[in-house]
Amino acid sequence: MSEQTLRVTCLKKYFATRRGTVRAVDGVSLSINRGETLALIGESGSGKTTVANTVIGKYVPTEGQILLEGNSIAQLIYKRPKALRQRVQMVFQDPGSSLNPRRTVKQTLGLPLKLYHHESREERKQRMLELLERVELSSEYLTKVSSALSGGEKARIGVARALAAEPTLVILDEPTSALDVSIQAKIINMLLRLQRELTLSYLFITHDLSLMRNVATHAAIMYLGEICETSQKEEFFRNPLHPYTKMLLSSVPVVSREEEAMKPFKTVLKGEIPSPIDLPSGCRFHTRCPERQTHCSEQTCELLEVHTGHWARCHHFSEAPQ
Amino acid sequence: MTQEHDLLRITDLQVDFNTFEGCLHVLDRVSITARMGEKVGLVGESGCGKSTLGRCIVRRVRPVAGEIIFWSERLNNVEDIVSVTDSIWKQLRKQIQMIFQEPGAAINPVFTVGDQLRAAIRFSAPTHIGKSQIQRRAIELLQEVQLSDPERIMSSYPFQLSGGMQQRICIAMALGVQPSLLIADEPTTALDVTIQEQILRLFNDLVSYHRTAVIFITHNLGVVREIADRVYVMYAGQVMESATTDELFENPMHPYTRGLISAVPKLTGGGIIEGIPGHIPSYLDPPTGCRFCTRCPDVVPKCDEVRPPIGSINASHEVACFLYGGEAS
Repeated sequence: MSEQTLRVTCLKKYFATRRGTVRAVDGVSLSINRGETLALIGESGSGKTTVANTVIGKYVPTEGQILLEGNSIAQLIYKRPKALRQRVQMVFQDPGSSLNPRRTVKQTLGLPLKLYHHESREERKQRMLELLERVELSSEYLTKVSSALSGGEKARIGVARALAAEPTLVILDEPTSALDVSIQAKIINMLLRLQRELTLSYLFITHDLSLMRNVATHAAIMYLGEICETSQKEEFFRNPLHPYTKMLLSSVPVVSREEEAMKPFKTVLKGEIPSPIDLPSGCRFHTRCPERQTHCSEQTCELLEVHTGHWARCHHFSEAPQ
Repeated sequence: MTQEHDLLRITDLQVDFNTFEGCLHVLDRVSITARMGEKVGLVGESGCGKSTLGRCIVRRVRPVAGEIIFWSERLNNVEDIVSVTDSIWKQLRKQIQMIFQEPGAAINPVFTVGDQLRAAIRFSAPTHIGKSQIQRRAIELLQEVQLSDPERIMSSYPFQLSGGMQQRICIAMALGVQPSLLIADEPTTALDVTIQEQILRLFNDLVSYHRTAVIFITHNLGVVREIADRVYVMYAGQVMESATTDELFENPMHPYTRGLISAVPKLTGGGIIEGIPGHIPSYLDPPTGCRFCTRCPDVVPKCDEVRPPIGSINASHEVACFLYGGEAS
């Protein structure tokens, strides 16, 4: 399965504000193959949600190209916006606030079916029952209003609504961060099963590295609008390269000694993410980097392929490769 | 009193909430203790009553039965928080502080940080202190929570600061009162992992420096492992297991604890295990025995009728489960 679902090249998205230009996304390139999951990781303010919003066509990119199954999103959004929305669906962070509390499940699921597939009433009913079965809910949920559902059930309906459009790419924006661990486990396993059954591609936005380890096939770490490391998942954990990645790994709270042993080192990541209006000179991470050298604050660094398929943006690798 | 003694001892605390649907039995005979300077973790999923327990300690919720015995160093006396008079509570209140989940919602948005910090210091001062002294103390506190440029922060409004900085200010305000007990209700849930780690570390340093006892309420098992000396695991308003942190994570005994730990995604990979099937029972009509019996993989017939008593496995480990002895009483 090498068919590319999404290809983002050199994406830039700037926002003009009164205080200056916010460079929310600044030259991001990524790709997702059919049936694969790319996890986009970063702190709040790193631009990961802006990437997602640009991919669904909510924002017009300042620069760069987004190809969805070979078609440019910039053209799709003008010519056939419905086709774009049918193929890219999003599951939101807080299932409580992304569902209309007064609507029944039937209304919630019926709308995308009506919009994208023009089915008759009977066909729709049939499809809804199928969808509920896919997200492991019984048919009696059809008549319930969203506000009467529990957090886990709402999350399932959120997923079912996204699947109703029959998308090829599903953007999962921290789909389980509002849920308890035991419910999270069920939702994640359900998402993985659905991916296998329907060969979906996922863009999984999260800040939880342990979750990413269990979900993704590829990972990309974002910091201040740039990707600072990207690789295949196993390689990523075997050999983390960028100092920021190491620090993120070190700061994950874990529950066992085996996991503790995986942490590269134990230093606290100092400071907070700088403002995307007033970006640091040189390497954007140099203000917090423990391995900083003098030239880090002067020269910008490029994303380099350090090992095959393993890219990192750090001066340590630009001088002496390997 | 020189020996280490219990700062807080809660025995058989029971809380009911009356609603239109009926009476919710939220806490069912909960007993916990916290010694001076000890960091006690309280873990459980949302809706298990951990925040209610925290709110009982600061008298925001009135229990129907049970007692909360607090040893006050200042009054050199033990008092039952449930039944003390308001005037004594006013004294005790200064020794118990609380930190909340959303730092942004816990600080008043229309006053500057300095105003609020100074108010906290004035409130806690045993005698009247001068303005310059208050100002000096406020700056000291901000330095203590490692905020650079304290003068600027004092004159800023909460919305001008990041979540991590706001939480540091909450910590500064709580510690400025020099409490002997601090209740932290999910203080890092709203923060990024990197900021979370900074806050946890700061928290750890400060409470051991001030010898403040902490009740750390969280649903994040990783966080509790990092911060607590001893952990209570709660489920549906009952304490299921308590042990020292290392003991609990090395050797979890209660089926609920085991399920909970296994459901946490691991950094080592290997997929996510669905530890616990089913849902939390309704508080309207919970099982009379162990409330976990509806979801427990190792359930025995008497579980839903008789509440298993808390039994000691060893000096540092207690569990309420019939699997580990405990005859029906």
